Amino acid sequence: MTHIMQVKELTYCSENNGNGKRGFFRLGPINLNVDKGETIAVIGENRSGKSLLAKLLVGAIPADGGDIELNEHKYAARFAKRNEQKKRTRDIRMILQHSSDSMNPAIPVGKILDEPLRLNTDFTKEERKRFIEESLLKVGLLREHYYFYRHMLSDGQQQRVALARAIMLEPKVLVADEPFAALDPSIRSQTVNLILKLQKEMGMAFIFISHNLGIVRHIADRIIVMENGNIVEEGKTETLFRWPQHPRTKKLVMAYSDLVPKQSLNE
Amino acid sequence: MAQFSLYEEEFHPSPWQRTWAAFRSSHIAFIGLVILAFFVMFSLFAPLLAPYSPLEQNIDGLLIAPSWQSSGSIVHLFGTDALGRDVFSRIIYGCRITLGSGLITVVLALFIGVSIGTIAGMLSGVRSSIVNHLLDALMAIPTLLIAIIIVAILGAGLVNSMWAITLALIPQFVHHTRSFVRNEMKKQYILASRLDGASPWQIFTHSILPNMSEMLVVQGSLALSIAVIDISALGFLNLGAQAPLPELGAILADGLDVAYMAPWNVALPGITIFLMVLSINIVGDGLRSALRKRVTH
Repeated sequence: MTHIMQVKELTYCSENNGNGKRGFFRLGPINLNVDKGETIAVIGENRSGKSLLAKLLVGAIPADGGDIELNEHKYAARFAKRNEQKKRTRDIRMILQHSSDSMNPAIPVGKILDEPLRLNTDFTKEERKRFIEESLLKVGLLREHYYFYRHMLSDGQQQRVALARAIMLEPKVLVADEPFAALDPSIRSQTVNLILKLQKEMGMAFIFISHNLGIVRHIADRIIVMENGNIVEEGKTETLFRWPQHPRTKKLVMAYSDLVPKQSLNE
Repeated sequence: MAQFSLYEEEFHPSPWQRTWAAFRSSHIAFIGLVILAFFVMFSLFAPLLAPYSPLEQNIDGLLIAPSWQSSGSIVHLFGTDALGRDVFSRIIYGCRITLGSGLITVVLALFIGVSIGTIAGMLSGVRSSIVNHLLDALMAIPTLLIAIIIVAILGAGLVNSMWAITLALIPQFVHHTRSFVRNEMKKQYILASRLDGASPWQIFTHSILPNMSEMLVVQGSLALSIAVIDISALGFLNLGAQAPLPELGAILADGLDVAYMAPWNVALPGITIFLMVLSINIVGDGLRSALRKRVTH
């Protein structure tokens, strides 16, 4: 199996992050391989560095060291050159944690979706508009949502817009930071199915962070458990759920299986 | 998911049409706009609308009462002043000078202030603080006072007073822009467009500027009413526009000499200034709530 993305020795160190007791936070070194079309879930308790890892992967925060290799193209994670960042923008896309905050309230959906195309492709204005409308249909919205503002959309629709924005450039890897947290169960399962469908169609790898182990178990191929900025356990979903090794993983899985009464760990 | 073939909505109002619709729904704002439109029309077409030259003196008709008094005549609608000049023509030209120079002043101050404020907001650390707080001390002093000090240095005159008011208005634009831009920069959608590969300039023009319109309208209309009041105040104090120039404050000051004999010489320019400032504020307020409605309802 070929790895589509390889992360090597990714480290990050923050010294003055707030004034609290845990002002010092160290992430990594993290090594990670991602296969084509694979779904990877990142779990772990709060402040274990999950969101930070996601931001480092897409380049929202410059890392202190390490490499990200994508299709044999090596990116230095530490600093990005302008043209490299452009390619990275096309290859790794992110869905931010709060989809409503990640939409600009003053401009309509069409313009929001226009931005990645305008900056990263050579399409003309008409081509871009047509492409945006197709993308809207693809995520289950209507053409006329092109003219809608943020406040006119529901949470689920906002999530779909965020998804459309992420998949528009046809990325190789999609990173999502708790994409399902704010949605109610029925919209959540709709979105999950939508993402799975699109993932199958486009063959991209999907890395997502979640606290909901039910969804994780349902859709993830592989799971990464993080604690204090390090990966403490990594494995296939079912293996990890049945035979957790690390105490942190045990705790998380136990907490989940307490909610699902009929399951026991040693069956 | 099932795809329905629905008819698409035929008409999608543009952002400006939405704003206009929200603005029109407020009657008070609309009345304010009509009054302001009158003043703008007076300023634009003053030579066509004014029946006499504002400087033309008529020794045979000193202090003629306005037309609605029994002793007045329709020939001079608002009467004449102590030199026999037609008050109506003078007020029309006065609107032109006061409103026009106010507008120029505000546009200039807005442009400079917003540029500096944006730079300060997008920078970080010590540089940002220096750019920002350099002008903060000036905000503690009323603009009129600063303007008087500057005029005292530069010398009296309309152009000098305009420069003075521009300089006095800049700090508040800088301050508001800077704090606004700083707040916006922390938001997630800025991160999202940065991930799209937008440069700082593209982030500013495409993500921050559309959000800034509300703040700009509020500050701009506030500054315009301040500028109008300050220009006429300097004119009234004989520091701004000089004597023959028909500036509203200067007309008011001229009329003060004969206030007991001919009160309309004081009242009419005063009412004009009042209406002008009132309509500017009403329109600014209406625009603000219309812009806010555009993104919340």
